[in-house]
Amino acid sequence: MLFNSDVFLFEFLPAVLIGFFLSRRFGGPRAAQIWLVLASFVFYAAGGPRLLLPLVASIGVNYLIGRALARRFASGRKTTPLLALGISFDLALLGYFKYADFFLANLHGLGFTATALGIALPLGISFYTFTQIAFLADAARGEAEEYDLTRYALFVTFFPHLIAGPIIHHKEMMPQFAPARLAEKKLELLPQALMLFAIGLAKKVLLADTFAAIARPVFDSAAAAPPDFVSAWGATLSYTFQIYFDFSGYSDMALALALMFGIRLPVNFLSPYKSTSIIVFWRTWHMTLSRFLRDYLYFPLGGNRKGKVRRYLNLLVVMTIGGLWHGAGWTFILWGALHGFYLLVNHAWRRLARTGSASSISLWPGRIVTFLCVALAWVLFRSESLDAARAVYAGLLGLNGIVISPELLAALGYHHAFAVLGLKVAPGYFENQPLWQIAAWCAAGLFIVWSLPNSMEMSGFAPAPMRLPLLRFRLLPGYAIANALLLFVCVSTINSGAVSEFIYYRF
Amino acid sequence: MTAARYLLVFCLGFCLLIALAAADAWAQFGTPTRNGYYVCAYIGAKIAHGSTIPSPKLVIVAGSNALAGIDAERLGDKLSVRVFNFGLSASMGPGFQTFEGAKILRPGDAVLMPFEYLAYDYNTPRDALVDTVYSCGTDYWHSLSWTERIFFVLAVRPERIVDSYLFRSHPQAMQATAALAAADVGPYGQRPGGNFPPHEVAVEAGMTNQPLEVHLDPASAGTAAIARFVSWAHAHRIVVFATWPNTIEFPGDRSGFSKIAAFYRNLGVDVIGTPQQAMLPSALMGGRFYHPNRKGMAVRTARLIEALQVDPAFRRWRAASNGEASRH
Repeated sequence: MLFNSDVFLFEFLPAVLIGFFLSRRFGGPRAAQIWLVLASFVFYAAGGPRLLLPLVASIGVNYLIGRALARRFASGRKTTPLLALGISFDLALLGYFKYADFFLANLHGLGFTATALGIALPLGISFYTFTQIAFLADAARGEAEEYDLTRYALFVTFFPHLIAGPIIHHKEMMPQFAPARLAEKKLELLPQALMLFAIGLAKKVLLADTFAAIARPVFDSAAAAPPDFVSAWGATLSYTFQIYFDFSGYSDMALALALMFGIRLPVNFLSPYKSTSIIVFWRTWHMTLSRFLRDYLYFPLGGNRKGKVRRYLNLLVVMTIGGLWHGAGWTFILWGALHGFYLLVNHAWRRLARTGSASSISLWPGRIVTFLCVALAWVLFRSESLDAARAVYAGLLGLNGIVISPELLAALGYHHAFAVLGLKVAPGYFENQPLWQIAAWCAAGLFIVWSLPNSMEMSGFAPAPMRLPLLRFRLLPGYAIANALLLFVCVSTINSGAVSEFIYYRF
Repeated sequence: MTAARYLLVFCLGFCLLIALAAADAWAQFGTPTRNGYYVCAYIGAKIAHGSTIPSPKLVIVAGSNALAGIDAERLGDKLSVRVFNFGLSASMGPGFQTFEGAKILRPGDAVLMPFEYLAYDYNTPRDALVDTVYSCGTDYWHSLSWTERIFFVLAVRPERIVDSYLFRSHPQAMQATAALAAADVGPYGQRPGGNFPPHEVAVEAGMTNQPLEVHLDPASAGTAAIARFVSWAHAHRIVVFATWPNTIEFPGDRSGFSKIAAFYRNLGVDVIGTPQQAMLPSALMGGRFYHPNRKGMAVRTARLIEALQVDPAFRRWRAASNGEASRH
């Protein structure tokens, strides 16, 4: 079930909210807890009831192992073998559903007899697996308590974060799911939640889907019809904005939905495209994944404690695994590795410049260079295959030529100059949308990500200094009306076009 | 301001906007635009022609891939059955297509459904469908659930009211549109001559670049409408077949194809042929990646005839229908 669908907005969400408040009032917090677990299962099963099986199996096994680990730690016994068993189970589950076909396809490519299994990927499996691996690791260290099954099931399945994160941590979430906390009435959080939800929905349906329509045709057909210079840049920039508005919009909605039930999820985005270096970018983009990779992979590998070379190697390994986590494909692996390389260069540059800050170049050059590096890496992330990525990169470099539409040529009038330069005159990918519109959308995208406050600042979810105080949420009638209007525009837009999936639903 | 007051203002504001949208929708109901009027007249002509064909007959229900790509006359001649092409537009969605198609179906008939791939995850009504329903789809509107009606209320464009007014203020334009629609429907449901487009048109550059995705969402309105229609058809002794939509050649997603096949298998519907049999090279397409040209239509129809001839369920229906026809 998508957050931006009518079924969710007009049927599921109101029913779950009403059910939550009624069950809490008449059945107590325990009833509200059970209600939320059931609602989360219904939310998940909407994508296909068969998907429930791996989720339920994962929760059951991790809960039992987690409990056993906590007991073993408390009694001073060794936890390593059981922890290895638990993590192996999680990785095996993830490996089977997400990576088996990728592995078989590569075996096939190497000349072995291997047929794809055609396994359907359960929604959110990467998210709920990572959440539970962290739980097991902490239980083995005595940092996770023993919880009851309902509370644990709610921690894993709570529908706002279940499909596409943020990746939550038991330390910050379990106390909030305790009956005593659920019993607290938090009506004052609802206005803020509604505003954040409307902002997130607007990012998705008004911005991300518009950029998707520009990027999609180019990336989907890149291998068969290599894009020219203009198409390649238009699509790359559009996808750069699409993925940000899509994923951060989803995260905003997830945070807002949780807040409606009085639960605070961790912040996942803080203006990543304003970053002046790749190091800062990864501190502000998909922050909960970065946190997981740092705490449960980078630090156990030795982090920066084992010398320069080992540190750079660790960064490369962690980012490559981060890429693989996103998808079973060489494009994702290379995307991760490329970011690992970026980080390596950034750290080396920082050492060279002998500065303590992440970026040693001034604000705007740093911001522009970081943005371009990130945008170029998204080509790998978005491309259907390495051939497609190669075609887009060639287009970005102008190796596929520069196509000028007949209309633009007529408008410019420099027929002779174009002929001398050897430019092709033909309708390109964007024949149905004037070039100026694409340029205007990209300029608007840049303005929003570089100049406006982010949704956390606007909604007041995260306290932060702001240059435009008018845009910061306040309990005033004007904001309530603006909130209603924004939500109405989004809902109308949803109903006048195709509902599109969130990019991170695939991971 | 307290949180409770904020919520009150928010709710009042949102309800007021919904009420305004509802008022706008109410004012627009039954007012055709040029496109809506054409589609309504076109569907009316199809129903008029299709209803005159005696049962048992084979009715093709889908979007324009079928209208452009399956020659009903040739199919009927080769298979010795009466065939009518009720192809509309893919943007209407399977719910509307089957609702209108059902109007000419009688017990003993058969339906062939080559729905476009987008039908399998069709959810919100597209602009073309909204326009048609507001132009003349009162009966379809009454068949919708309350929640679906809300979606239609929110989906209508406010500026449509102006389009409709301008169109209705020119009676000659209305007459010409109706005549155009009537001329586009022949005795087999297609433009007389059976070709669509009328002459060969090269596939437009941008059109070849459109994504071809095969994705089935079991919870979508599209799949729900297909399931409802199959159940209705079975209850009325109407045999249902499915086949693959005409498209330009593309590698395709095998898991998507098998999901569609499994979906029909669960509904007890025979799927005719393979997805590749419905794929044609660019030279055989006419302007859109899912519209075969004249040659493409001949190729696709010949392949479909072959596939139907060897399909046991179709042969059973044809034998039964020929017996039925000879009794009449």
